[in-house]
Amino acid sequence: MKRLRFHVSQGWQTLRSRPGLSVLAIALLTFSLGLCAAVFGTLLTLQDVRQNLLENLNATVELQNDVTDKRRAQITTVIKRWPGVAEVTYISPDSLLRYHSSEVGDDLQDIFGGNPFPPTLQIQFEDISHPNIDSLIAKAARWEGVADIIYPRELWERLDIFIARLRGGALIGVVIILLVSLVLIWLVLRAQFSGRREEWRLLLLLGMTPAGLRTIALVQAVTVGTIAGVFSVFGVWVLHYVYTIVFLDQISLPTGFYPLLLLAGIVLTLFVGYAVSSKVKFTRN
Amino acid sequence: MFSVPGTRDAQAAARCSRRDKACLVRLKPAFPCGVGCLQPTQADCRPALPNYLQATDLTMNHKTNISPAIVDLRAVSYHYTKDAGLSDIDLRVLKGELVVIEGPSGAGKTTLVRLLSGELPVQTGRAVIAGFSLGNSSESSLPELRRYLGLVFQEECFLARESVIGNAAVPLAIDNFTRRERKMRALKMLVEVGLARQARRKPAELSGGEKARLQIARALIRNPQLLIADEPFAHLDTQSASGITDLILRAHRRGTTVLVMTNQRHAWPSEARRISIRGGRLAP
Repeated sequence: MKRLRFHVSQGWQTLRSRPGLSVLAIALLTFSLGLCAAVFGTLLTLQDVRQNLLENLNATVELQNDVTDKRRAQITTVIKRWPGVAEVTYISPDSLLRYHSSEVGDDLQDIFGGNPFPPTLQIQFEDISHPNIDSLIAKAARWEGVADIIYPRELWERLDIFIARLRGGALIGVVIILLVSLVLIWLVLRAQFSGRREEWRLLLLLGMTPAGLRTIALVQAVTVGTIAGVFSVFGVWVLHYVYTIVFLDQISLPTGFYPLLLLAGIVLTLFVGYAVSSKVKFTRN
Repeated sequence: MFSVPGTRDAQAAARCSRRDKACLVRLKPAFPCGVGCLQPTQADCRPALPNYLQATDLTMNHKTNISPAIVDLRAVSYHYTKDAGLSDIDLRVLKGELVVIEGPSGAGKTTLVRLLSGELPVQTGRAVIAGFSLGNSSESSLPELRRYLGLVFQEECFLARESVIGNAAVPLAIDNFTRRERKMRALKMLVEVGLARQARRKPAELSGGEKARLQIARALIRNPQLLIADEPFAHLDTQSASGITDLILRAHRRGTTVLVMTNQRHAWPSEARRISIRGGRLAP
């Protein structure tokens, strides 16, 4: 612990030796961590949007007019067992007639000379797996008592493709941003560390081990990571707050999101610190 | 200085297998005025060589390095290029000796210091410093060796952001001393070299003579077994140089083995052994 205090003071002095570079490294990491958090928040919002759309994109099973209550109950039970089904609701022909008549404003029974609507089961999904749904619906269409099944397959597919593309793009973007900023931070910290090369030589000649110097480089990097992590947590908190006020909507961030952001900053700079120290030659020439 | 049977060091050494060098290397020498100190007064106390380096243990653990000399170089060579470097250096410095190696610039004095401190590898020959064989020693044993050396460099070599007292205490920080102990010992050392008033200054604010004295203070703060001074009088006026000479001689009188490299003719006491170095070769 006593020795670590010396390493911490030397790491801190390395950061202070070229303060401009330290500010640059902290700003870079804060920016990239904040950007990653923002992308993550956007993905969470998109997930919410997808969920809302799914709740409104139902499949409709039109039953034959002469289907018995027993058969209808059987069909309902089987459909409820399908994977990803949240709810199955029976809508009687009378309810449909009332609903559509009120929408149109005329009595549709008079126009059609009877109730034109079949008994219907409305399926609400919580999650969709297209091949599964396709095969189940194809099978269900052949069941006794089922007249037709209508579902917005193409819309679902487009929505999923869109969201998958966004996710992939965001992931690639995040990786590129992190890689570029980590390389830049590595260059900055290495320039700082190498700037004290003569002092490191002195410490080695006074009996410090190369591992001790590596610890100094790690302390230097982790200090940058911690400061940048705190700044990015604050920045993301402000962004979240502004979003809530402007859009009157709240992104439900997962538990431990802010500590995770801070931890990400520290862990990333640990790697950078290790890379910084491993590239500096401490051994005999 | 021999280890005292039954002391903490001796017990710890006994627990190590004789062939387990790593275990032996981990053993710390007795600290000043700690268990195992045989000096009559506190002022005379200096760290003992670890048990495995004591004469009795050398035969067990360093069979090839048995030597009563603290510096033992035999046919050592180091070449930067074909013509530049050191050739066939034979040098034996006994414990408590004062050796002055004189030679012009470019004769190989700094190379010899870098070799003795383990900064440069021994290309040919055999070099044993304080019981450590430099030719065979691994990188991991070099820090241990360097803790028995006090080094004074030719060039200014300080931690620029540390104060004078902080710089003097750096070896103690490396050795894991407490902050209070470091400060007390460094202050005592600064008083000894006449830099107490400048303790809070930065090294850049010191004059050339003061910087040289700070280097000596830093080198002596551990009570080293061997003090190696590389051109300690470089760029100094006569008065400052004689002040530095006094400090070196004071350390020598306390029992520190001293090896001074210089290109200037100085008045050294009669017991000093003078050796010349020319073109990378020693000449008595």
